[in-house]
Order: sequence, then C-alpha cells, then structure tokens
Amino acid sequence: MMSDNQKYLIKIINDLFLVSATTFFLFYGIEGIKTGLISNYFDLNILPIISVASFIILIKISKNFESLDSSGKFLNQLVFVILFSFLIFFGLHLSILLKIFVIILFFIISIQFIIKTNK
Amino acid sequence: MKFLYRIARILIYLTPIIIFASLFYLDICPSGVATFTYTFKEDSPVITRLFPENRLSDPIQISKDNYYQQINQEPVYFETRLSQKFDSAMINIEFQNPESSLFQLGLATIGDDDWNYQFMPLDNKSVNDLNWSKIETDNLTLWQRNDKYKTIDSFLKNFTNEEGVAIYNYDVKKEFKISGYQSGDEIRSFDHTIRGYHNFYTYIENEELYFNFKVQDINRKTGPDVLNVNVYDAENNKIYTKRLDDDGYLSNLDPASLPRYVTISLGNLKDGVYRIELDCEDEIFIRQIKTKQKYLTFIERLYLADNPEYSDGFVDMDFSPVSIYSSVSRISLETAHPAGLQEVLIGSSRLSIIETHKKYYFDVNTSPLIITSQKNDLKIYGNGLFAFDKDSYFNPEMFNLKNFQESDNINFLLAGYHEPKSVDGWLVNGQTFDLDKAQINNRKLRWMLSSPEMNDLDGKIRIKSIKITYFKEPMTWEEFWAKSINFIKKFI
Repeated sequence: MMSDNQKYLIKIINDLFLVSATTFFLFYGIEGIKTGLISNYFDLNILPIISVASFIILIKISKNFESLDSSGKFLNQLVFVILFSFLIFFGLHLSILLKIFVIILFFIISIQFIIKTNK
Repeated sequence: MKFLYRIARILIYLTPIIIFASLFYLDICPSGVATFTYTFKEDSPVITRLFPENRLSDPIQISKDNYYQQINQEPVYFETRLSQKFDSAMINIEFQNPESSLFQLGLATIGDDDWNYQFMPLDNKSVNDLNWSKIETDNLTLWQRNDKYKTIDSFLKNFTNEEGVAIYNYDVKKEFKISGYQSGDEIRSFDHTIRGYHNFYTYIENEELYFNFKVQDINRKTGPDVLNVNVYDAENNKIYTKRLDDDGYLSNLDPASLPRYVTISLGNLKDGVYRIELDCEDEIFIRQIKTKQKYLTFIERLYLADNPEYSDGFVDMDFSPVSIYSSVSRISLETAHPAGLQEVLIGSSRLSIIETHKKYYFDVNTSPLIITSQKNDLKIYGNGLFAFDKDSYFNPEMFNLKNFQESDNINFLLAGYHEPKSVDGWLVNGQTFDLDKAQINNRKLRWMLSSPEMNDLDGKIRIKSIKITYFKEPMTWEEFWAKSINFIKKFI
C-alpha cells in the first residue's frame, strides 16, 4: 500500500510532467507566431528536459502508472507520445544531447511497456 | 501534506504564467534598452554566426569560456534580430587587428540597390596615432593641434572653415562653402585621357554647372558600352542624368569609335558642392573634360590612360607624363599591361611597378603631394581625392572625411570615434547607429565587418565577442498596456 505522502508526490510529479509538456507546446507555438519572443530570452530545451525527467520519475515511483487511475495513465502516455513525436519532428532545433537522450529513453520505456503488456 | 501539495500545485501551474509574463515584458522592452552578446562559445538567439564560412576560421578556444573567430578574408557579415522597433543600436566588438590600418563596421541601409552600408570605424590607426591634445564626450572626440577650444560644444558653435577643420564620421550639419570664391565664364580644359568609371566633386556659386566630355569607345570587348553621366547634390540626391548610348559597334573586332560629346549645362542650381559620376565600363575613354567650374577633384579612383597600349584605337594620344595632386594617405597603384610598367614618383619617393595586375601600396607621410606617372596606363586608388593640378583641387570631404591623414592644413579633427580600449590583450570599441534608414528584412538587421586593405595585405582580424544594445524611448504604462492588448488581440 502507498502512503499518503507517496500519493501526493506522484500527483505533484504528474502535474509537473503535464504542465511542463503543455507549456513546451504552447511556447513552441508562440515562438512560431513571433520568432524570438520566447527564444531570445529563454532556452526552450529546458521544458522537454523537465517533462522527460518528470516522466521517468513518475514511471519509477508509480510503478509503471499502477497507482494512477486508467484515465491518468492514458493521458500521461498520450502526452508523452505527442511530446516525443514533437521532439523528433522538430528535433533539428534541439540540442544533440537532448535528442540522443530522448531517443534512448523512448526505447527503454517502449521495451518496458512491451514486456509488461506481454506478461 | 495536503496543504503542501496544494502550494506545490499552485506553484507548478503559476510558474509558466510568470515565465511567459516575464518573457513578454522583456520582449516589449518598456525600459527602452535591450542587450545581447555573442561570444563564439555558443549560438546566440539574437546575433547570428559570422558568414560566409569560407572567409572565417572555426571558433578557436582561448580558455574555458573564451573563444574567438578569425576573419581570413573580408568582408564578413552577421545579422541581429529585432524584437521591437528600436531607434538606435550600439555595437561593441572585442577584436585584435594587428595589420590593417582601418577596421570598420557597416549597417545595411535602404538605398538604390541591395548593397548599401553605412560604415563607422572601429579601429583607425591614422587617427589613433594622432599625437594632439584631445577632448572626449560619449560619442565624439576633438583633437586640436593647439588647445583653442575647451569643450566640444564651444567648438561646434564657433569653428570656421578657415581654421583647418576636418570632420570624420560625424554629421556637423554645416554646408561646405569656399570663402572668397569667384565664379567666371572661362572654360578650362583637362586634356588627359581617363578610362572607365569615375566620380568627381565640383563646386558652383552663382554660376551654371557646365561640363563637356569628349568620349570614345575602344571596342575591345563584345557588347554595348553605355555611359551615364549622373549629377548628385550635396545631400547625395541624384538631380540629373544623361545617357550616351553605345556607338553601334558591338563586336570586339570593330574599330574604336570616333569622338562623341556629352554636354551638361544646368542653371539655377543651389550654391555648393556637386558630385558628377561617369558611370561606364573600362571600354569607355574620356579623352577630354571641358568645364566652366574652377574645381574638379576625383574621388578615390583615377585611371590614367595616355599610353601606347591604346594607340591602335586612338591615334592622337599624348604620351607625356601626367602629374596628379593627391590628398590620399595610402595610395594603391596598378597597371594592366606591360606598356604600363614604370617607376612612379610619389612626392620625393619612387615606386616601381614591375608586374601587371598587381596592386602596389604606398603610405604617404606628408599630404597633399604630387604623383607623377611617366607612362600612364595606371590605375590610382586611395581613400581620398585626386586632381589634375593644385588649382583645381579642393576637398569638400573635410566635413565628411572617409579617412584621416595628418596634414599641415588640418588643425582640428572632430570625429565620431574613440580610440579602442585595450582589455586583456584585446581591443574593445563600439559605434552607435541610427536605425531610421536601416534595411530590415524578416525583422533582422544586417551588419558587415570590413577592412578594405586586409585581403591585399593578407591580414587577419580576430573577433572575440559582439555585443548589441538596442535603444528606444522608454514606455509609459499607458503605452505598455496598449501594446499588451494589441498583442493579445493579435493572438486571438
């Protein structure tokens, strides 16, 4: 059984993941509308790094989303897939390190899901 | 724990809003000042890398956080992004320039063609070497041979043309006048042949602007050869143009054309300096210039052509040596044919031209002086002016010098320039540009780093950092809210 503290921590990290990923999409869109409004003063690489890092922690502490309800699980996976697709598609603008990091991570998570689904 | 969770949640949701509000505030720039720096360590979102790459080295690391990039060939360019409409931009550059006498920064401006740049000096060694007393303000320096003025303001209010004043890289908004000038109807004739494109100044006061050019086309190349004679006023506005079409001989096997004449006669012009441009290829030879004007000084280029090399086309050339009165500080000489190889007298010195198609440089110690070409067929270049004789020489650029050379007739130099400061073995200097005439493409300004003699001298310039500071009027709260609402409306 999970303690209350763990539940709250999972919720916070879940929020952090969703908010950072959504903010990244929004900022990217705004940057497209007015080039420089974001990138002149803010490194857009920071947001996907936070998203990806919080997603990993979330998987780890929620034991592959077991502690989340099914809608939360689906939302997280959906957002992550969109974020990943987005990063690959527009990846030219991101740092090489981040690209490599995201690709490796995606492979690990995909393998984990495949193994879990096949159990 | 629930309370902490709520606080954390509020923070997580509020943070992006606060970040966006801060970015929006920075972008609108209510303070009116925005600064960005490019250090070659990593890309800058506002200042692009220098280009084209083939004229530059890769960025070279000096220490942990310090890099530089070497310019191997000039010019090179960079662009800076504008987040808002700004009034002016100050560029500060950290550089090393061991060889070149002039290193300058240019801003692309709106003009007749795509290649218009307003240049300002970053490092001018002839000015740096000036050993006179000086007074400095934020953007101006006044050098005085003898201390006469205590402040730059008193100089600007009281100086007269007769004091020997030279102005460099600053607009004094004072019209050039020659005191005691006497106009006349007498026609003067300059019978030396010059070849190709030329530009010269002349001066009128209560008289018509009258010039007559005797023109011949040598027809050594296939295709039409056109001459456009353009007249510009003191503000550089083109006020008149006259076209002389091709002589009808298009083949390179055709003979040289017979003499044709272009006459310009313009009355009722405002007194002052005019620039006349003879816009043509090297196929066109100006065999004679007749004028009612007293003064005629060529700008930066004079191509003397009375040489046997051209006697197949022109049988009536006078091959006598030609003497030129020059105020150029660094002269460049070149000939295109073996018949032009010669020894040129520059003041009391001699310079041997022993190879064709090679530029020979000569640094002048005392200016003005006489250059004598024994055989002609000589291209004479330099940042300054040339005349066929002392009587026809005048220098309207004294109030707008392209470069400075110490001479006996200059006692004051006012310059929009400071000597670069030395910091840890690097020179630092900056210039401020008004952006009202800047060329803006995709919200970007284009800049050029140039050192005119660098390619010929095989010199190198190293750049360590480029810093741009944009300026505009600070915003009032009313303007800020109006702009914010406009921005939101645009998004909706």
